[in-house]
Amino acid sequence: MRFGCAGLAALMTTAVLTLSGSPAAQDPQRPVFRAGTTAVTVNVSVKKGNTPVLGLTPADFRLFDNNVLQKVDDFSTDEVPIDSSLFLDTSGSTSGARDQMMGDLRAIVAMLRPVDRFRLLTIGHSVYQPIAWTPAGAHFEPELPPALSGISLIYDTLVMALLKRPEVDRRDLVLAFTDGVDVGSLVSAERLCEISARSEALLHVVVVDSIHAGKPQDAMAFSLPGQNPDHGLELLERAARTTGGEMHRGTFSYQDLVKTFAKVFDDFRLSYLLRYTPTGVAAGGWHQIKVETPKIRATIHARSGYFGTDEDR
Amino acid sequence: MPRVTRGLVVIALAVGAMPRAAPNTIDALLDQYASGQFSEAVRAASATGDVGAFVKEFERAAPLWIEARPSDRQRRRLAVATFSLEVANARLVAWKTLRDLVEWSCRLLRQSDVPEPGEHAWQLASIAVAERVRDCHWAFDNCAAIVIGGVLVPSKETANHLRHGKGRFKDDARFRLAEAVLIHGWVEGEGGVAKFGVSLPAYKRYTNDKFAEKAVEEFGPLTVVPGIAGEAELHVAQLFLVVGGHEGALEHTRLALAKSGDPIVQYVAYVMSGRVLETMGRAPEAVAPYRAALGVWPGGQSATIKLASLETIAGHLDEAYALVERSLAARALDDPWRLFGYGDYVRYPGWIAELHRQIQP
Repeated sequence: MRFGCAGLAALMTTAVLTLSGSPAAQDPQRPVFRAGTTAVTVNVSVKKGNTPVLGLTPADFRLFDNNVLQKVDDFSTDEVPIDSSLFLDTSGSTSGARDQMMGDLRAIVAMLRPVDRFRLLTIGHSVYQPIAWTPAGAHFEPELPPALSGISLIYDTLVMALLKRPEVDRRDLVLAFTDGVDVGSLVSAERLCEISARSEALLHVVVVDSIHAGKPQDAMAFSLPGQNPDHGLELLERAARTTGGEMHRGTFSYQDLVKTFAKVFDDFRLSYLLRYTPTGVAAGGWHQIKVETPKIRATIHARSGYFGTDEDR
Repeated sequence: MPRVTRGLVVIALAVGAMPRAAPNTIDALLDQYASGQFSEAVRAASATGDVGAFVKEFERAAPLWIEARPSDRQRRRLAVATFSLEVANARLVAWKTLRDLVEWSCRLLRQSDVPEPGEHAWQLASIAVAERVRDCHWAFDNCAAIVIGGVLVPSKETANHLRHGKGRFKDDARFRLAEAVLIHGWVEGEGGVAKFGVSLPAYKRYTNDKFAEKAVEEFGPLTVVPGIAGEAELHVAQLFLVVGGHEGALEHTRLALAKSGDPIVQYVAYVMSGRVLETMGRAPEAVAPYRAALGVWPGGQSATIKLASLETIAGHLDEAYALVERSLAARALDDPWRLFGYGDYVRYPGWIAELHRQIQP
């Protein structure tokens, strides 16, 4: 089933994670989320303006699955460790800013908490992972691929970032910094949207003006007509919104990346985790999720839903 | 030169601090490269700020470095030529400047009356880089024209680089294949129309109507040449795919698989089969060729992304996660599908590895 991302209340689930209720071995204060197939965990950011609304209780929320009101089984405001996939578009368009890029990467990593992890994804002739999953605070010295014109695998990189296996007791954040001009990806922007609807991760995209965008005529012969539509940015935004994230417009300054990451990371950290077991709805297909805070006028950000399978029940 | 001092000199060059590189800096880079520290030397040189100054200084200093050890002249000559090619490849955004250095290196190798060991791989690798950047005017003498305002204008900037390789290695099948690839690689772009001597609008009409037919005509004779038959079939399949000839593309991928056991040919053929089937709306059938591709090239990124996407849409998320994990862990960076669109560039890593073996002391 296809879905419209834009008009839906932004909801975010960590869909197949379930809250066991048993304490983490290493931290008795932190809840443990078990991978399962029946319960759905919804990550909800509640803000007034740019300020997170803190101190809410389960009674402040109403959660609907395909328009059926659900009972929230568990609720947490605890700070769950975050895995951040940082995607820096190192295609030809950003070739003049690499030193600054690395400096800002260090600034971003410095914001992470000891329990967090990060990795770096970039683009060469393929999708590169110059830094695999690394604990915050660890030393890193990435070797970036050479700057190339004529190829910019933005959609492919995001697919690889989004298809990250959810881990027990961790949440996933993908932050992309790019000019948004895809050249040569194997997946289309439409397919990226479909995959973002099935991913557990929250996607934010910072789009900057291109200095030297890849030219389609430089692209590989395999870039078929219709593969890279002009409305790529619109679809990138749709993909981000589907996960509960956003698209941010920036100038070609990597400080934008640092500032945006700080904002996104804080929002994510301070969001609420609601867990429910879907009842009164069919297991398979697209489940539109809607969260309300009836007593509080606020903006709610989360993903728009999740795909269930018949095996879930 | 002591290692520490040499390192400092290399770093100074790397940050572009010197408007004119000191002679011993080029020496240091070449010493480092010839000692087997290939990537380190290339990385330092390719970080140079002023590419033009680097080229000028390199062309002055490198011959002196070669002649400083006459007994090692042959190996040093190949080291200089390969180093310059690798620097050019590492800085494709500065190709227009660095291609002169590659041509200079070609002349250096051709000083020997008969090709020395390594030149065959070097000539092919240098043509492959030209295919990557689609530099018609530098590489291919039949493209001696450019398009200005939709009209063909004769070009004066032809180096005829491909002819050098063909002249040194007569009847070599790989140069014949490169020539065919060069023609079709460029005619797909905005500027590459000279082969057919038509204006751009006319060419576009031509490509729409007759492109696949012309491709078979160009590549057809090569599909029976031992050593390149499978690869030639794959190029025909690619061209059918580009113009929407899906059945033709599938047929030629089958022929490619039948004619070659080469992993690159096999991998690209399987990925292409899957891609064609998806384009035809037969996505479930694409799963098998994508899996076969990963059997040939474990962790191959393009097959991984396509297969993981299909598995995700089908609701098989665990399988999709596992595929992506395996690909990232394999660090299979030189994905043949990604590079095959640039013609012989898919072979570039292999040829450079061969050159490294020749240069290694």
